[in-house]
Amino acid sequence: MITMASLRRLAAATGGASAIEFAFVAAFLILPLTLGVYVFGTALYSSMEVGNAARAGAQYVNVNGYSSAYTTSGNSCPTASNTFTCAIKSATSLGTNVTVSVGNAYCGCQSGTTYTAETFSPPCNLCNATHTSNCCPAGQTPVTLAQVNASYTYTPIFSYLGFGPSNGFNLTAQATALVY
Amino acid sequence: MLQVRSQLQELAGRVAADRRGVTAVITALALTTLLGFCGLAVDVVMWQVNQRQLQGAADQAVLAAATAFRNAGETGALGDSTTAQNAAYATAIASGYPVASVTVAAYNDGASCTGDGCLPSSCIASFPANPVPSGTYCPGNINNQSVTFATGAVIIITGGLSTKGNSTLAGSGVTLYVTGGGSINANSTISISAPSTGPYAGLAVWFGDNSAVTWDGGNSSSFKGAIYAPTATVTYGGNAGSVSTCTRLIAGALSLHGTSTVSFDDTGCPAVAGPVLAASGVTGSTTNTGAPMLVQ
Repeated sequence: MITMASLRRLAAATGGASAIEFAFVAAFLILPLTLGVYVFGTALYSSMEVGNAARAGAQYVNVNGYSSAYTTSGNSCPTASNTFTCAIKSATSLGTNVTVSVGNAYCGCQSGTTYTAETFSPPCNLCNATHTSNCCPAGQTPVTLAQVNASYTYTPIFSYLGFGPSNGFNLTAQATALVY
Repeated sequence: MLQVRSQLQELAGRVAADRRGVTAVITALALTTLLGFCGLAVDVVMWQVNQRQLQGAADQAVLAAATAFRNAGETGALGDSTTAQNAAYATAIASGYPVASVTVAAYNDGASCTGDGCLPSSCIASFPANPVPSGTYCPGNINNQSVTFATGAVIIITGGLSTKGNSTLAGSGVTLYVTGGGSINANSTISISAPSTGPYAGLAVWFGDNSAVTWDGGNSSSFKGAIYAPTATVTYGGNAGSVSTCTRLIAGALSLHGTSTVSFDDTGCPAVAGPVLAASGVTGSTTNTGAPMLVQ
């Protein structure tokens, strides 16, 4: 039975003070720290997986040729017409949550180890009598490249008392594919 | 002044003797080390992430090099190809790695390939005395020769398999891997049975590229095992007769001319998994039984 006397004794007691202090330290330090490590680790893992998805897309473009229609958005695997989505899905553990699309193809001019990014669009030609502008000067090789963009929304398990983003972090990755 | 000093001394003494809040103090001290290690962990992870990105760019560059090499129809060493090197440079630089950090090393896989599945770069120009052991041969035209392969041998023939003038090629438990096509002519006979165990079980002859394979003239050949020519056009012409037991012919295309006869006899064969495929894409007329042909 709780009496005034027993409450006074409890207030005056010093035993177990360390345990209570530990409880405070654990609540405000160790728990958020552990959670933080977990969230940071899984976010980095997702970020690497997004990178993998972008590279898988770039490799697909590299091998199968360029098409701006390649996208995982709104496409599921397996369908016969959409092996792009299947290639991405098999390369990452993010499943359908990662979105990969192929950007516009662009031109570059190259001569051995010298590479110049250009602003003009394909077809990428060598300058000659027919092509006088938007072309690569003599001695260089025109190359066609495309950027593959991957994005994924990472949602942490913990909203950090409203200080964190409520809709998660947007993770993006790019990979560049040489187009033939 | 003296009073303040003694008060301060007294306060310091009290703080030193005070046992309360000791966990917080220890935690604060430990926190410096703890945060240090947190920083280290983050550094290591970022290092790994950068490593992964660099590896990704390198992979991408290599793939670009190999694709460029293939598209250019090149057949020499990949590492020596300017087309391949340029593709690798362009991809790596466009992926955000400066030119100074990109190197394309020449790598010739022909000389360094060892173990199963590697095609040696050198070959023996003529068959040694019978029985012929496993090895890589480039015999050219086999004319009026009688060759017996050692039992269980794996024979690699580069530069094509060409026989004429009553030549015979025989062997049991033998697998022939041929590049450069085949031309079996005029009364020459091939009689090969595939090994029944091991990695090449059931495979008698493998034509490894898209060079044409022709059975011609009055030769009679018999195979026990698969004839695997997935990319080659296989032609039976003239009076060519082939009587094979337990054979599967897999060909890129099949063509039959003249009075050629191809018989596939499944009598007494072990059960083969998979369907018996209809011969589609076959031109000419044929007498074939069992129809175990796959023409792609």
